[in-house]
Amino acid sequence: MDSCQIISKKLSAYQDGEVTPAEKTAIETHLRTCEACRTKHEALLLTYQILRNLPEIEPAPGLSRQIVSRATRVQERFWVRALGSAFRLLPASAAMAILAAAGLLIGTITGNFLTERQFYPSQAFSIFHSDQALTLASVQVFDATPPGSFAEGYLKLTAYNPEKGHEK
Amino acid sequence: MQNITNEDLMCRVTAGNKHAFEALVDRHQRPVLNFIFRFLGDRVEAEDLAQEVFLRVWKSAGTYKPDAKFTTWLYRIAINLCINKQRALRIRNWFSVSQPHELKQNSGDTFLAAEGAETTTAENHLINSEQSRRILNALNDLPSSQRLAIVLKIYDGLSYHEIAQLMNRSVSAVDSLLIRAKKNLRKKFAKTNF
Repeated sequence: MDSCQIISKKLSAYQDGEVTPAEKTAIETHLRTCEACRTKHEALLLTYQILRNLPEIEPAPGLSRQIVSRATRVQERFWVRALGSAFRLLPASAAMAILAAAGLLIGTITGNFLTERQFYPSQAFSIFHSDQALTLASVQVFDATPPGSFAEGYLKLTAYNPEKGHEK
Repeated sequence: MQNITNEDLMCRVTAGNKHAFEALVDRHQRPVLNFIFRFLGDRVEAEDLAQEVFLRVWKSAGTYKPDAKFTTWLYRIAINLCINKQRALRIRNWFSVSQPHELKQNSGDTFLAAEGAETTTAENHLINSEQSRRILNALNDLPSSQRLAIVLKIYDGLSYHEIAQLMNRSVSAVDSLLIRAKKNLRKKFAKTNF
């Protein structure tokens, strides 16, 4: 690659002030002696000059106020939306709570019925706060050989002694 | 609020301070508006999008990292919105019957109305608006990456390093983009007898 090719590739960066001091000196020295590169450089300068003729536009009066008020409205809308969705969810939440309470009540009554205990929700805390009642209930529920089960029958068979009869 | 840095103002915006936001908008609305105008070539779209950029700043304030340079963050938002808008405009133009290739006739005129036109003679007004329209057309004909690089370099005065950061490219890639952009613009200006 000859020096003209190297310099012409660097001309754009030179124009933008993006070359090292050494490169800058080399380019300026070359431009003084090479007419072809000087022409290229002048064409680049002209392009820059034309582009710089594009004037700046002024923001419309009150643009910043408009932006700030829009931003504030966006924030307000956010809170309105958040509250709105909370209110929309309220009936669903209430229905869920009622269903959960009903489920708990039905479950408790059915459970007591199946375990043949006179147990009502109003007594729930009194029963479970009594250590004795809790122990008795646990023993009944977790009886390894409940009356009438196969386990009870098996135990009775293994303990059967024809001479003594049934062992209780 | 004049002596406070952009980064400090932005930290206050993060805490919901409306006055800090207003100060930031006042400080940056002009460069943001001009950047968008030069990229899109349409004043009305530029004003809409400039508003959108600042709304995005307000809404995304929580994502701003105080150690980052505010202007880099702001330009990134503006660039993303410009690219999205350009895509939308391209689709709209593609579907419209009269696909407008050239910019609207009034694109160049628009800033003169806001730039104290009473001090400009009618002749200068015509020359300037025609010239501005031709410059905007030439910019508009560039591929968007070249246009972005040239606008950020020439009008916003960013360094190659800053442009590379914003465009997620290497410095040498930015250099190549600018060389090609300038070459294309030179050809375009030569054709239109600038």
